[in-house]
Amino acid sequence: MIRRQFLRNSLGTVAAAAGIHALSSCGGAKNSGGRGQITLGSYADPALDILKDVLLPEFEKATGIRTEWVEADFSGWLQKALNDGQTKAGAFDIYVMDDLWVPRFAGAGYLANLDELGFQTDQDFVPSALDLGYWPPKRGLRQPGIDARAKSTLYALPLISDVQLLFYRHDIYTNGAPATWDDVLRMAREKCDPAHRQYGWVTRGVKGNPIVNSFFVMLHAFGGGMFGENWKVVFNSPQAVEALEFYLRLLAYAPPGVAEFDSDQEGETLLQGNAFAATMWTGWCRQTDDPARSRVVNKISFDVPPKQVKQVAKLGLFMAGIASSAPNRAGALEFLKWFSSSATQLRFARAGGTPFKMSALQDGEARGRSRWLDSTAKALAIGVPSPRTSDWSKVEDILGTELNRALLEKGKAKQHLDAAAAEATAFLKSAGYPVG
Amino acid sequence: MARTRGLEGDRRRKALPWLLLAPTALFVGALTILPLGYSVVTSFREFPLGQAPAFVGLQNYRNLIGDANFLSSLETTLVFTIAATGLEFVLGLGLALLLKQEFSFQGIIRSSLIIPMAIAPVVVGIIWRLLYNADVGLFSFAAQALTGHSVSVLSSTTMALPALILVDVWEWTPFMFLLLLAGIQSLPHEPFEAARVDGASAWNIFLHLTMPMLRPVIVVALLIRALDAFTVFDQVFVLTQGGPGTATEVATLMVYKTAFRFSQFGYAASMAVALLVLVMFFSAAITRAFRASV
Amino acid sequence: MPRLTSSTQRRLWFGIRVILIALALIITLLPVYWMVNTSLKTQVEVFTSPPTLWPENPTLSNYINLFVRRHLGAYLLNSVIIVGSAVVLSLIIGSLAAYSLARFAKAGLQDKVNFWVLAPRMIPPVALVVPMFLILQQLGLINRKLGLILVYTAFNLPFVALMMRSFFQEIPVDLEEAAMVDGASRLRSIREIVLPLASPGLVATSIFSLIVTFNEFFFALILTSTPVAATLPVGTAALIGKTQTLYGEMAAAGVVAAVPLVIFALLVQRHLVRGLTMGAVK
Repeated sequence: MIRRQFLRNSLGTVAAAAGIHALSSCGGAKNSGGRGQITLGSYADPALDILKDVLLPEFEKATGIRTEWVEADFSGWLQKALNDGQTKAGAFDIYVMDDLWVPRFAGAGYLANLDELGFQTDQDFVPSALDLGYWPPKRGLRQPGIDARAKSTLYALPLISDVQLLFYRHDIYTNGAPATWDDVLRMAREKCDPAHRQYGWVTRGVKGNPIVNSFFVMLHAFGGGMFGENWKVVFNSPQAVEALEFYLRLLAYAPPGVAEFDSDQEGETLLQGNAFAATMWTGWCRQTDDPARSRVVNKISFDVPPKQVKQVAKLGLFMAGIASSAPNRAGALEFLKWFSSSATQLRFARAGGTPFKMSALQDGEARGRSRWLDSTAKALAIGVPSPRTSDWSKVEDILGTELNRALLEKGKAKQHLDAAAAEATAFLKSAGYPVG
Repeated sequence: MARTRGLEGDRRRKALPWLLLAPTALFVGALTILPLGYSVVTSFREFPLGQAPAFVGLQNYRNLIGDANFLSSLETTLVFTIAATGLEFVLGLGLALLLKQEFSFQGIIRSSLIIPMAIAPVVVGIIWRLLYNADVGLFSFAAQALTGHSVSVLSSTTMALPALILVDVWEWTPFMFLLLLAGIQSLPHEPFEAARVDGASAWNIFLHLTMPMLRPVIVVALLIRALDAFTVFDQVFVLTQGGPGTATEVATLMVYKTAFRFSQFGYAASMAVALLVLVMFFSAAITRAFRASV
Repeated sequence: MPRLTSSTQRRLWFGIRVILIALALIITLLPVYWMVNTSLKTQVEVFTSPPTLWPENPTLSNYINLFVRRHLGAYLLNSVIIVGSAVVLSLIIGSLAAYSLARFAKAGLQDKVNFWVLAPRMIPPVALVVPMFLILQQLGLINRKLGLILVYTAFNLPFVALMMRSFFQEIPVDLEEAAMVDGASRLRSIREIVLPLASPGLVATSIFSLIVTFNEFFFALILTSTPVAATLPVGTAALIGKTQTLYGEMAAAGVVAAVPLVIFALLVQRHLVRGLTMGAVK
């Protein structure tokens, strides 16, 4: 009897509390638009820390517009953003995007047309960075369904210049950065010591996007590529096979579990002092000298990835676009204009961030503080992005699975690349590409 | 033994069952059946980039039947489901039998045993990722100490799926344990006392009295757990992303990738509907199998 | 055949039971220990090899970061309110439906009900997201606690109905009918006979509902975004970054999320015992 009384009372209390709270939160959690505030949605990454902690408060003080930063994990944010775009919910003013997403978002109409809104670009933008925001792409092949003569429109701006740089231990590479990939292999062979967990190289091996991004630089450095004329699949060309075989040879000196590594384990291996070198994103740069994150403080140097036949770096910039259903378009535009102004970019670089304007990248004070800006500028100049098509993710998944298999078998490079090329070609054909 | 000896009587009594069911039906209908209908409609369409969705009839389903990747993911999912659910049932039942009698510290011990399922699935994935890590994981370290070489569980095509099954068993055996324990505790005393007075052995009591009387709870527990195992996602996503190769590529992972990475919403919806149909058969089979063993 | 009352045999069984229980506890708690262990380490120590069983420099910074920088307090409160309300609602409504199913439905209907009630669980969430979002948007319930409460109630109802039905089925109808023959109303016989006997089932169902709903991530992610309504799993999602995962903070978040659930389980433990029997009946 007493027990039932208690249950009834507590039920009643909970119901009442829930009711009160539900009603009280009716007062507007919605983005009310107007001059008052902008909502930026993004995935989480340390590369965004300085933007969040230093620049956003500056913006609020300078313009009086409040900023709200909503963050989730990478796949979670992609789903939220796609959902917001599809349902035109208007919960966000600015989408932070991986440059890989731009074709999809722009092509599907989720982004506002920045040219129409009156955004003016200038010569100080790093060209390769700015190009990523145009749809259809300014250079290169256009996917079927896109008019070959349609004018390229600006839909997104760079936000953080994230590129793959070579991170290397200058206490091991005592003669400076390795100039070619052969040098990397030689050093790995000479000094590798698995018994003491000293590995010559570390990379991402998980199938799909991680391993493809790791292999990308090597593929291009050996003269290979992803697509040839008219979208012909060429990642099984003789140069590509050579690149993969070299890669597998190099990975013999990598930690044993490398096939399951994603970027976090790749970075941790380097920061624990267990690898001599790796190609990693610039978001890791600041952490190499942080004792709470790294055991190799002041021992890492940066450079563009080594040359073989060519020298390339991979671009993986963070982009920012205005949602087509944004409640506060004017405010969002003002933010983009403010953040991409050369003055702000300079302050950003001096505060430790990675800017996308030449003047900021070349500033002496900024370079003094962040010793990777020099390599970043060079890498941006020779940078290659992922192929600009909304179907790249599927091809990447196919290629990534085969690369992962080759890694597991430690060989059969040609077979796996051929298998991937065949499956990719079949897919592209079914998607309307003029291949095969 | 007819359970339907409801009390016939005035209209109010006849309406009672439906009144009791109404709120549930309303909720479930509005917030789950409706969206399901929407998904079915989506599965008949295609979503080309930058254009309006187009009606394609059964094309997505035709592609699905010929999709070797999807079919092999079904196989992987089935293996995972049967192995995980089976192990969880056996272990859960064992634990429930071990712990049904009163003993000291029973509150703490029972609560400790259900901790695994109280931890967020993503965190479970992250912690086990650390444990399985070839370089810094406890498993590898132990293997090194015992045999001299480290072991990379998650990059072995033979060990990856069992490793995932182990994580699932660790996380969800408490569910079986809890439900079966509650089921056992709900059984009336008299039949058991009578059987003991008659001299039946513990094993006979278990086989011919406990198990049959537990049947309703067992069926539901198996159904729910098998369903959840069939739709496993978080752990696989965090631990292996479907690798190595396609060793742990489960069906839900395929649906996710198809919808969100490849933007093929129509095709993904058709996969979801196909999975639903499969599960229907599965659950009908389980229910019928247990009913038949009267 | 030797009787179980012989003293040495009893001691043997007891010994075996203790060993098995201890084994189960060790296997269960080792990863949990690892989670707590990791939550007290700095990132650089998480990846030390050989792995350390206890941090060299234990630190509470992970927990502090969670509450100060990531507003975990607000998310935790939201979770408690939203999940608590949804579970209570679904227990009440679902048990009513379960009673109806257990007592009045014929065998053939049971199979059909099985399907319709389980169907929502069979659908991968990705297929439900857009329509669910649209429905809630029409009702103006996006990023509001009430929206998520309704959604979670709808998700829990099938499970509660199914579970409680099976527990009600275990209780012989004769007990209720005997009480009603004696003059009690149906409602009173439910309250005084059925509910107490089914209380282990209620406890188990409530624990499980609470746990699954508390840790639900996907729908909370899509249907809420800010500390006004977002739940704990959403608040900690950002710990998995694009290129890095903050393992220490993730482990700390796991601990923080598990504690309320384990405390609840501890508190309702004592109801997981045999219900009162109506020994006088029959």
